[in-house]
Amino acid sequence: MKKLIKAKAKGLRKSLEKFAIKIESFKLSSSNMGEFTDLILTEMRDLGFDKVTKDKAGNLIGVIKGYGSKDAIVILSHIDIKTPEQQKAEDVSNSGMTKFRSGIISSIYAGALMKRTMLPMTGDLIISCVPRLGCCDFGTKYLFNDVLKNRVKKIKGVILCEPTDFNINLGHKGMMEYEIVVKGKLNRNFLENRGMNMLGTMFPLISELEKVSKELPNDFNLGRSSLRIKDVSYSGCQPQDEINEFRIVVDRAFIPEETKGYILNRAKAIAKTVYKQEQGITVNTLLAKERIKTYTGLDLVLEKEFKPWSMESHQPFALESLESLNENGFKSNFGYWKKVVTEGSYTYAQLKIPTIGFGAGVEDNIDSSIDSLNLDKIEKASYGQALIVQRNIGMPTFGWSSDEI
Amino acid sequence: MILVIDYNLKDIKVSTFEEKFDGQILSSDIKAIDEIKDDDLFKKIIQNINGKKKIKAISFRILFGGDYFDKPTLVDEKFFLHFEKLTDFFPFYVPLTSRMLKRFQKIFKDIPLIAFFETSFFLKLPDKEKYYTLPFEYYQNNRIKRWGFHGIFHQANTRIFSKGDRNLSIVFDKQTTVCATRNNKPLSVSLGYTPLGGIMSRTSCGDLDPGIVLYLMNVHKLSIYEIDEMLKNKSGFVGLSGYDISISEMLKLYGKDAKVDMAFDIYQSQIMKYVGEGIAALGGLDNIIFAGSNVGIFTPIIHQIVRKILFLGINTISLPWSEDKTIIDITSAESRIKVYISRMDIAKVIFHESDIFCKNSSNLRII
Amino acid sequence: MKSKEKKSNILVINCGSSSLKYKIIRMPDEDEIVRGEAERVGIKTQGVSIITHTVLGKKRTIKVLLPNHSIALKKVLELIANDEKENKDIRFDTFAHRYVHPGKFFTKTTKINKMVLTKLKETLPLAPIHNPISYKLLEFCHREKSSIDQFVVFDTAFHKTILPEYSTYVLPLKVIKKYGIRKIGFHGISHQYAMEEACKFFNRDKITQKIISCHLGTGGSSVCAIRSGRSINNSMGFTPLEGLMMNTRSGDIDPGAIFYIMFRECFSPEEAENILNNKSGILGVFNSSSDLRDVIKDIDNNKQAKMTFDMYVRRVRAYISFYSLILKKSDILIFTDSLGVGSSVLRESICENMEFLGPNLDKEKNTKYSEGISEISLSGSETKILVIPTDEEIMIAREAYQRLVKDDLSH
Repeated sequence: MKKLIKAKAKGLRKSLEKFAIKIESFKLSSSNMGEFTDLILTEMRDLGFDKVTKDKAGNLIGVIKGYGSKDAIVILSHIDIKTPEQQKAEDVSNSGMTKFRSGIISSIYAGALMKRTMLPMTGDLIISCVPRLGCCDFGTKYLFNDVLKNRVKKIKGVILCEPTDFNINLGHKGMMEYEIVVKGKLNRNFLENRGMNMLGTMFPLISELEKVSKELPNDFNLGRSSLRIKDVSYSGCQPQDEINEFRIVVDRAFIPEETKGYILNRAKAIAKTVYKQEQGITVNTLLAKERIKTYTGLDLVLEKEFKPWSMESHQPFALESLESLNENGFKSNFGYWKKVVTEGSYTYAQLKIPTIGFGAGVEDNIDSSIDSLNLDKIEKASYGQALIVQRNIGMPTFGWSSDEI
Repeated sequence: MILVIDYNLKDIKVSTFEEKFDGQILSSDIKAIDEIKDDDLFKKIIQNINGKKKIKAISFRILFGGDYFDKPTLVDEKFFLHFEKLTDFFPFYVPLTSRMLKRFQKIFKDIPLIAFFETSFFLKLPDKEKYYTLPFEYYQNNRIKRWGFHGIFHQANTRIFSKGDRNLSIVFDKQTTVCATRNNKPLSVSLGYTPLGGIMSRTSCGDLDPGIVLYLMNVHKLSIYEIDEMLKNKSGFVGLSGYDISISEMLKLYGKDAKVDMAFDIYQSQIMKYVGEGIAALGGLDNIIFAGSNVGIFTPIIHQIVRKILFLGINTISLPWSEDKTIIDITSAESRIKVYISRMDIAKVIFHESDIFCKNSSNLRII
Repeated sequence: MKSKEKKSNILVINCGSSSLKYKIIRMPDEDEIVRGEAERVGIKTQGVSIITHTVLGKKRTIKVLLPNHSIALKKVLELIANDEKENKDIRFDTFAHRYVHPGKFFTKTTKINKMVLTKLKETLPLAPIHNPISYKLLEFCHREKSSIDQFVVFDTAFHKTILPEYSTYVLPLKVIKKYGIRKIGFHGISHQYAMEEACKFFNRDKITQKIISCHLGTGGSSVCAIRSGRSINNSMGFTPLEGLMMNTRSGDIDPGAIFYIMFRECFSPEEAENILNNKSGILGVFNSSSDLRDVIKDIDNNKQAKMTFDMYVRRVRAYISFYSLILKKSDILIFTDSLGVGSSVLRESICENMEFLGPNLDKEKNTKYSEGISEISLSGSETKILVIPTDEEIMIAREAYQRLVKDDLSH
């Protein structure tokens, strides 16, 4: 089997190179997403995928039909779209952007390999690129809640094309953005010794949060939770202003034992304790929301939260996938991402579909030049993904060697 | 002109035959046919192999026919309907072969395509030969039975013998198979469900104590995929000698390398086991015939095998054996058992069968 | 130079999974003084456990609780001790045990000492039903009767002479070396006994004889090719699973078929092992019984029975034929153990049309056979056909006695 897949990979190499150049050289912005996605859809069609569509949320979906109609496998890659503000802020380099492109290329070519070798699968292979705008995974949610709604129970597994250095990654910390809003009427005596200034009133809370950030819990596999104050703002700093209010925006990386409710309540309690001596102070915590407009014209408001997830290594999908890699020349282990968030926050943490990550590259590689898209590594990643698909939903041929036919 | 196509999932070997020049073969290997995307180019390449002579029929050697295909069959819609059902048995072979056949069908629209199966001949195996000693329900649910192989050769070989004769046919190809036949029916064959049983090949193991497979799985926790890979790709002559070389290169080392010698000794003992099985099934022996694509380079091996069974009543003529005729008799007149060597190519065999098939007009649809 | 022949009464112990057979044999005359069998050892179902005990021809049956083999042996030794009081002649001076699979540690009959026991302890998983039982008894005797010499006779030892071209499996060299995979062969004691008795019967020196021995029984079947008194091939292999179709064991089977079934039916390795060892063979094909005698009863009215019988016969014939080729025709073909001795129908089917390779069966003699060692071939037959009832215990006694004498000579 391995030799058959490798032979077809060789045949596809030229096509992969051409596609890679097109993808990498495309200067992506929120205004030309349509063109970019059309590039990808055309490639899927040219490679002979059985069905190629784009849904209302802008997800790109290519299907390679199985011989049977049992469990399907979904290979997910994503497209990072920066909001105009993000674009302005980080115009210096495309760092972080390069990563998703290799994921798109490897996932599509994994599909092409399964199509070329005509290795029969007991279910469909679904290759999907989901757009990710800012910090929201609206694409994934729409894909699984709408387009794949009827199939969700029959998905054997999801493969995420994110950098894992060819290991099988089983999860990562969650990420959320929340605000602590403290409102109150300042009077002359408010923190008298410090003077009448808003910054001064915020210091106690900020310093308390800093203290808390050093004592956050640790997960053996995922690492330590973290708390980072992202932004601080206030309005009404004069005693005569009607309402004095300040907001602290917190970036919080958290582990499975901490729930969203727990974190928000705790933040609220911390703030309340800091200002317990004062009267007339109200504290509120809420999950940050973002309003986005997709390139397909959908107008959405989404919460800024990616759930943490950590799948057990004895899960059959994980075990079989690891075995299939290591039996065919890879030296893979189970691992976890330390810095990125992925669609697994929805597919596994929310929908409980077995999910693994597999791809070329390391998560914090910040090279951005065209050479960083190492074509050999991308080809290797698509070969590995094809092996995983073959092991999980492929029909094996025992006893016969494709060499001795 | 009749074309015979041998497909190995990557390349095709095209042999051309003209009825009036029996024995004239032109053959050409076309590599990586999937890469030739242009159908017109593909058609041109094939037609140009033997000048642009009119093609009467194109025949294909197909490795597996399941229960349905018991004889050479015209490739049409009904064919694909039944052939594609065999995907379960041979997942990496059936879809690719089906696609290849459909391509030929599209490009050579008006020419009959005939499929010849290596397994058809063995659908006539007696029940006691067919089934394995597993709980019978596995046969019923999974069709686990002895399918046989090299049926095209073995059936052709058996035709040269008289009625009632007890014959052993041994084919040397990428696989080696031993088949006992009588009255044009097979009575035993060495290759069963997969090439892992029977006789070793360049990389496969041949007969193996099933306890070894269980031992590796249960005690050393190897997966069935790992063991399957080891038994089919890393064993055989390659596994025993440590050299990943072709069989003809292996033969060059024979007599010069202890590991290669041991490999050939074991190979011969495996063949001997199936010769024994064949003789038991036949209840005696009248003829032996050696055939197959490797029969030329295996002459020293054939010589050794025959020497080992001379006591059965075989008198051979001395080496070297002539190479001018297609089928030669290497035994003298007094020999109780006759031994033949056939140098006929599989393509030639299929050509003869195709000729017969085409002459029987009921086989061909009126186009 | 022979010293006065040493006399020895050897207590031979031969265990099955739920039985314990024993004999006291006076060597070198091979007189049977005591014989017995403890049945239903360790079985928890209804039916009482009993010991049938025969001393100098007098038989008695004793009902006694036998929860395990150690207790069974203890009871047997008590019975013998009691009988000794009345007749000093039955006193035994040596133990001889049968041990099925000693792995690569031992290739011949060995005297028991602490080091030997330690090594044997490592081999328990190799024959998970038989080895642990035999080991317990060896330990028991070593502990309780340390003054009495103990010998252990191996079922595999006879096959250490199997030729490399038959004992090497076609696997990567690394795998062969790493796991020590090779054809080991079993039923060695039985085949060796059959060979020795056959040569005695025809008064021929075993050095000159080419023999094929078929041990066809309810506890497994195997065929052995013997030349010059040495085993050169055996149908069982690295494990007793290889070779002939047996009661519940599959015998030879395409490994590709095993993988397919495991994949399609989602069997675990343990389930596959259970199916191949306990649910295949005669039971797998015939379904209603694992005993070939039941199959034979049904041959005329049941197609499945006929096919099962044909499959069984066909495989025995294939191995006899194969071994005939490598021996270049045999001098003697032997049928032994319960089916080989008990079923004339089986022998006749196996020998049908085999004259080409030597054996020419006398149908009448075959049908008339009832007991003892007997020739059933036609007088002009190139290969003589013999029926030899198994007597593993005498073979074990012979092996132990030979060792005993050798040890004596070297002192």
